[in-house]
Amino acid sequence: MPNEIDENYPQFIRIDENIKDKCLKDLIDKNSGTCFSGQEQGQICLLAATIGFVNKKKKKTNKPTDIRLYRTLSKEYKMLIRAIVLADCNYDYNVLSDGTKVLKIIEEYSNGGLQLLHEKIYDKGLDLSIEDDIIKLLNKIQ
Amino acid sequence: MIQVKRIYIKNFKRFREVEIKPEAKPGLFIFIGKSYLGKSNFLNAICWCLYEETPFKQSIEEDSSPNDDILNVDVAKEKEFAEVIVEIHVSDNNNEYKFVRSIIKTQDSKFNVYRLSGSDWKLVPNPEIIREMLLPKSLRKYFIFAGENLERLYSAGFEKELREGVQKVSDIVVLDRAIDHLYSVLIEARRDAGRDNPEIDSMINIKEKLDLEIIEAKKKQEKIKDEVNDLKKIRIEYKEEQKKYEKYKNLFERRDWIDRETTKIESMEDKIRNRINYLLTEKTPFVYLRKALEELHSHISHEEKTGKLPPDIEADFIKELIKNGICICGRKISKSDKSTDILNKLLLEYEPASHRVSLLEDKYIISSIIRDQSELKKELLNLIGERGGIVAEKNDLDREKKEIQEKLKNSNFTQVSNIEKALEDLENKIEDHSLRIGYLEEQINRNKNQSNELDDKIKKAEVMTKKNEKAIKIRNFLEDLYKSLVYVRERITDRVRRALSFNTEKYFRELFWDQEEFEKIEFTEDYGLNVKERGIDRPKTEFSMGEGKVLGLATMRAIAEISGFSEVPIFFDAPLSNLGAEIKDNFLKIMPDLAPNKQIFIFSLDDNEMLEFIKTSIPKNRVYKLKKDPKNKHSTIIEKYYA
Repeated sequence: MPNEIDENYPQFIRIDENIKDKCLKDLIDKNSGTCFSGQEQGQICLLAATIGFVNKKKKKTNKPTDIRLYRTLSKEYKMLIRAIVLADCNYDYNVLSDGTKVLKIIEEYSNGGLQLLHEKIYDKGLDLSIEDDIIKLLNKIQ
Repeated sequence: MIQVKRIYIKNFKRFREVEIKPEAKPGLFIFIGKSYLGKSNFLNAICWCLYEETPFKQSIEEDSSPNDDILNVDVAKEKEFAEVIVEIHVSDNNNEYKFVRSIIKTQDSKFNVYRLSGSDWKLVPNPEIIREMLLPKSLRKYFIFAGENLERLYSAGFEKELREGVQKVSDIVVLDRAIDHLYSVLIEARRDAGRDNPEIDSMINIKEKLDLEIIEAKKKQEKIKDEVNDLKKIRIEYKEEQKKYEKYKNLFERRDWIDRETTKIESMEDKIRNRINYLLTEKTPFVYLRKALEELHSHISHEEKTGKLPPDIEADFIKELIKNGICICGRKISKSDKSTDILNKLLLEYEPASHRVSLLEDKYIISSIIRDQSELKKELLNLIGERGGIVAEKNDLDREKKEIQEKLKNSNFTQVSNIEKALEDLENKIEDHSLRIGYLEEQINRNKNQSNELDDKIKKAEVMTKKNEKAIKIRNFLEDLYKSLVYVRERITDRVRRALSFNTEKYFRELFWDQEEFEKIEFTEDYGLNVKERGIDRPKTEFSMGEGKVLGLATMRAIAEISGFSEVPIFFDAPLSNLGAEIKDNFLKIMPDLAPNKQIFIFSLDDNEMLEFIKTSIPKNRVYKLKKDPKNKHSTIIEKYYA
């Protein structure tokens, strides 16, 4: 296994099987009516990682299951991963050289993020698509 | 001149009890009243009295009792079996008559005519004969008519009615009877002339057979023509039905269009939604991480400034040296060389930092991502707005579709194709009939020729045999007489027809505003209407309502002109309805001239034009007003307007 996030790597991220079955499947279900329906699983996991990170919610992967990233990660996404990982380990640049560790951090945030999303959309019965959130966020920032 | 002296109506529709006694002189009499007060029913009362029919439609509001029940509603409440009576008292030059019809519910109506003898009214034994003599039923529609229905004078099958009407008004009927009678005498004379002469006898037999065939063929032709007229009437009905379904057809088309449009809109909406979803899942992470990204950006900038971020060339350069076994100074070294160890140590120190190179790149990426976020917001907002518009449009279409479905529930679409097929069959039948009429025409002509040839042969044979000279003389005289009468009849018919054409055109021009438009109006031999408009034939079905009505009026006037009943009073309901302002003016101008020699009773709304006309042109004692009966809610009373 290469020890860096290079051009062809990662092809998979590993999230908790339980979370995949309980949360991810619901979110991408074509009838869910959320903006995730029909989207790529890997993409959702990366989005979930940012949400997990922003909400400081990490969850260890007990029983890993592979989620394939169908597209080669863009420079932007590689940067995004580095940004999360660096912020997580207080800008210790050396962490970046260990690809496995990097992915582990992302995967843990991904688990947490998926749980949060599922909770927000399903458990709380909110019909809010992420659309409104994002516009609010954008409005705040601009 | 026939003059109405009194009309008395009791318990008929809106009239609980009214009596009018118009001046027994020619000229206009005007009855005005608001809608629903029973103007049309006044005419119905007259028609009912004379012919037991109520041809004039009344508005629903006016008709507070069912159509078949002519008993006044107010009266019916008090007494279910009250008698309905209408009396019309008329005088012709010598006599005075009273027509009385009465009915009590569930019984047949009674019709009686009384003649004034001295000061007593005496019952006339055959009331219908007197009526036919004075106010014939067949001419009813030429002296009791409604302006609203005038344009329908030229509806399908009008030719036959017009021909019959004209024949009746021009007394050709009498001539026809004489000709028929003469013909039967002529046949006898022919037989007498050919008696005791077997050759002539057989020729006469053949000739009679031919003549009979001609008569039969003519009858058949008439019958077929009538059938064609009936078919044409049905065709109009079907066409109206078709129009009704046309509406549904349009609805079906509209529904299909909505379906197609909805599919288009849905795919557009899908595209937009996909784009939004893509942006949300693809770009959202960067928005969420914006704070972290900004932090990273400042970290990288700081590292860069403090020189902690070595250029990646160093690690690559060291790797390259180790790979090729070259020392930094350029000397060849082996793997066991000390320099190789130093290089490996250096690489260990620098390699972890090599990824830092991409951090420099990250700095630029972060800048551009943050810059792009305003674009992202714009695009998202645009897409969301666009989607909202599309969804609203789709909802509108959905709503319309629902409405259409509701309407379509009432339609039976299979009927549309049935009607279309029936119409096609009708057209075929009409064409078929026309062919048969042509075939019969040929047969008639053939027979006529043969019959004429036989005539010649018979005459030649008679000269040869010199028998029955007296009978032959009589026969010849009758033959000549018959031919002359038929010729006279043809001339009269022709003249009447020409007079009708001429007068119709004249009156039409008088009434019609755009005289230039119409070149010629004439009736064909079959009383079909031929209208030339600046040299082009125009089908009568293409007349506008106003034109049709003016044409109807003109024809009425023309028929009255040539009829032997030109002095019969006219009852004319709503003369101004459906007329444009200009024709109204023209019509009111010529109205006094319409009645130089007869009474004309006009029933009209009390609109401004009519009131103005009354003020300027009508003597005070000739204007009546229909008013709601203050005592009875559903009844009308008639008073003198200037009372």
